[in-house]
Amino acid sequence: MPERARWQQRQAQAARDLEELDQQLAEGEISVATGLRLREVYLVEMEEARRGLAEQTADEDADSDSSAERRSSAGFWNPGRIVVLAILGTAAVALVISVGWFARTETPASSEEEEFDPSRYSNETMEAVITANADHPQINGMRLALAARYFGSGEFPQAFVHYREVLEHNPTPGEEAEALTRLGWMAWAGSGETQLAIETLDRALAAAPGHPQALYFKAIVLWCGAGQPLTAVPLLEEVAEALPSETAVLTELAAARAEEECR
Amino acid sequence: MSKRAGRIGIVLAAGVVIAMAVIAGVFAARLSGDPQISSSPLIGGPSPVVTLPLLEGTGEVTIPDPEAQVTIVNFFASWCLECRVEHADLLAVADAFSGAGVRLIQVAYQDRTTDAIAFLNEMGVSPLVRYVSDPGSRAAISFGVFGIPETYLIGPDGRVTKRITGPSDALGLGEEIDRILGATG
Repeated sequence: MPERARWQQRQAQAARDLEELDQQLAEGEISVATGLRLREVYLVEMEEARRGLAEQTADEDADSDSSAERRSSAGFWNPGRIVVLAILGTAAVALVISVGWFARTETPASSEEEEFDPSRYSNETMEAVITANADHPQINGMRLALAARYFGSGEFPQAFVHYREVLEHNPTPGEEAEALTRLGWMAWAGSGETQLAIETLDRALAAAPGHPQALYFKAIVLWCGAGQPLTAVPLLEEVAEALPSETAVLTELAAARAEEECR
Repeated sequence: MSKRAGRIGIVLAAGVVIAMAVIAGVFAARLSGDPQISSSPLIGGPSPVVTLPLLEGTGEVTIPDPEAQVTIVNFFASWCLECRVEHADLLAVADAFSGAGVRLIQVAYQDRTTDAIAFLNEMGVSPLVRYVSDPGSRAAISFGVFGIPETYLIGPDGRVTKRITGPSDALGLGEEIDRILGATG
């Protein structure tokens, strides 16, 4: 017999005994004292049966919850749900990878701009990039890099084109000073235009006061082009102060002070 | 559900999970690296040789250009939006490298001749560039064009060095041309 049924049977029997006891007392079959003792016994029996039944119910509820949980778990991890979760998981992975990939495709443009190294590219490549991005607000940097390369190799006409373009495309003061400085030098060194060179170098210095290269070029143009070594001296002194490691400037400063011929 | 049916279901589900994992892995592998630079069986191998009629007028152009140090073959169409994005860069490269023996050939891909010409007139043309049509998509098939724009670079030895899917840009093209010209000469 199941435990629960046994406890129910004992409880029912105790209840019946109590009823019969009342009837026996009423009919005088037992004494009141006996009736009280028996009543105490039946009540204890009934209480034990009630507690046993309650414990049994609690055990059964616990078993029921555990079983239900197991059933629930098994239901959640059924094959259909696994497949759905796998598909959702794959889609999520694909989405994350795609987002990362598309984000990466956007990234190179800015990182290349930040880490652009002109030495990696030919003049032709830089020319092509500049032509294709002529209106880009940050193209002046590449123009100056390419112009400097032409300037350094004495290709003044090519350099001139880019410096002029820099001046026409909203240069920063630093960009303006660099372009004007090189244009001023080329006006004298390339075309012998002393006065134009000085005016252009003055414009560079107006854009960036104390610009060492503009000061130096102006000093050389004044000394070698206009024959004014003593006018060049304070400019060379300023350059020497700004660039103390440039020993050649100190040599030229001494020569200008001595009013020697420029070399 | 019987125990046997449950086991079969679990096995099937596991199979689907593994298949999905493989798909995700392949997907990830395919998307790694520069998305614009695609692998192609042609790369490193000899370029297809095709002769195509000029888009306008009479005459033909052979791909790769036998006299060029580098031949750039660009497949475009008037209906291709990204072709508009790359057009200025292509012209700039053709112009900048014209003295270095670089030849750009633009191939109209599955396009009406009049539409292709109108597109070029709108976007800009250069006398340095050769514009051709591709009857029957012979060239596109030979190169294995997947979608446009698509651009191939061919070195002086006639070998394909690079395939660019999607819009190309002057910096990327120039870098590859620098590499080819530096490597060869």
